[in-house]
Amino acid sequence: MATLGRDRKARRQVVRTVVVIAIFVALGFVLLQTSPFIRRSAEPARAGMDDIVVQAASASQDIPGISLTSDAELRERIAELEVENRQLAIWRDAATSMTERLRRYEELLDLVGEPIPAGVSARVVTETNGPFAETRLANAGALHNVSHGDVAINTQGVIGRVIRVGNRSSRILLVTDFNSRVPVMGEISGVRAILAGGRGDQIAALIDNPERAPFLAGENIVTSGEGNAFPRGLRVGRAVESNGEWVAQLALAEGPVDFVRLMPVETIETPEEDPVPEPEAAPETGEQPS
Amino acid sequence: MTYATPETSSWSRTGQLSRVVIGVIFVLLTGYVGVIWISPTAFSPFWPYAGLWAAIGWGGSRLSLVSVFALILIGLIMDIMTGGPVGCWTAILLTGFLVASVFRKRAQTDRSGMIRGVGDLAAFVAAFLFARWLMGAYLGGIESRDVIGGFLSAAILYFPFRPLFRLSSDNRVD
Repeated sequence: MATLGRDRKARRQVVRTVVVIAIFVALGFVLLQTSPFIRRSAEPARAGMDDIVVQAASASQDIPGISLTSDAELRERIAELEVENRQLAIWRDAATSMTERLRRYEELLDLVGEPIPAGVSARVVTETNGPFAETRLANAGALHNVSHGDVAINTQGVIGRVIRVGNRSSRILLVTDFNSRVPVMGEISGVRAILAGGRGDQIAALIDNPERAPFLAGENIVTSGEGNAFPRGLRVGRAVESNGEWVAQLALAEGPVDFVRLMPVETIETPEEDPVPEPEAAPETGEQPS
Repeated sequence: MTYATPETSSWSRTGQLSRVVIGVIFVLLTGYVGVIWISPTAFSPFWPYAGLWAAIGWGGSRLSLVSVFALILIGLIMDIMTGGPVGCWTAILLTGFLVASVFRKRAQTDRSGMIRGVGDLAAFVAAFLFARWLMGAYLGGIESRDVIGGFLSAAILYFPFRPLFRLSSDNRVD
């Protein structure tokens, strides 16, 4: 009996020792990952996991019976969308006509046209608001030409950027995340700042304001395009003053994040350092023009 | 001479391994539902902390290497799902397991269940402090409010689910 008791005690001691060792080993792993090189080596595994989650989430949403909305709501929504679709058809015709007219004007003025941004629309299938990252998983990936750094926008404005790409999934880091930094400016005032997340779902801080000038209350905060991470002019939110400091009321919080457009960033190439050589002057022949 | 056989439920006939497997499946299912549930509920996002249910429940009922390895597995999956550094959730879960196990023996001699409750709460608090320290060290500074919300939600939901994570057949540790 005493031997049995001693055995149990010894076994408990072994388990506790294993747990303590495992905690230290795990902490060692965490410490190692402060190196970006080692952290990057885990990226393929994470991207593969994202693919699995997206496939599983899409599959479960297709199963009849597992639905978060009733059929009546869906029918009502379809009717609304049909009406909206008919109204949009009128606007589509007007837009087609205006696009053609604009093209003709540009030709007449010999204007360098702006490229139409490419991109892909995707559905956000999961939310993974863990303590380490506020992210969303969208069901489009490398097979749909999504790449790392693509900007994610929805009807309200910028919601974030792609930080990891799987074959059929992409992980979007939201502008609300602690690590998110977006160069922005006031649309009217032109005051520049960095929009920093980590202040909750509704607002983001406006830091590193070089002009130290105030924003205009209620003006749109748009991306400034600095650093080439985001194209210029995309809406991010509204400037509001809170407790004596300017913050951005995020566009992300104005509506559901269900469908997103993932757009590659069109970077402007740096001009050549050396000037383009001028064409050589024609050799003088001594003849005077008549 | 007849002997009265005690009533045995299906749950009481399960062994330790099957209970660990059921616990792992339950935690992963909670994580899965939490991930695909786009509409936010009244609770703060608690699914990353659902692994603590298993860690504290198992640590408070029986010490075994099987549950330790299961926690390491859950931790690795959570690391990948939440974008945390590999090893982080494993360390947090094992801390909860270790603290809960300290109260295990006393809980078995306490009929009121008070020590078990205190042990579980102490394990949640220790896991929270450890997690907050780890997140702060790794991220450089985060809002404690969100982390506290997640932990509190997980702790409140733990108590109804606690019997699922009992590895022992001893009713005193329920």
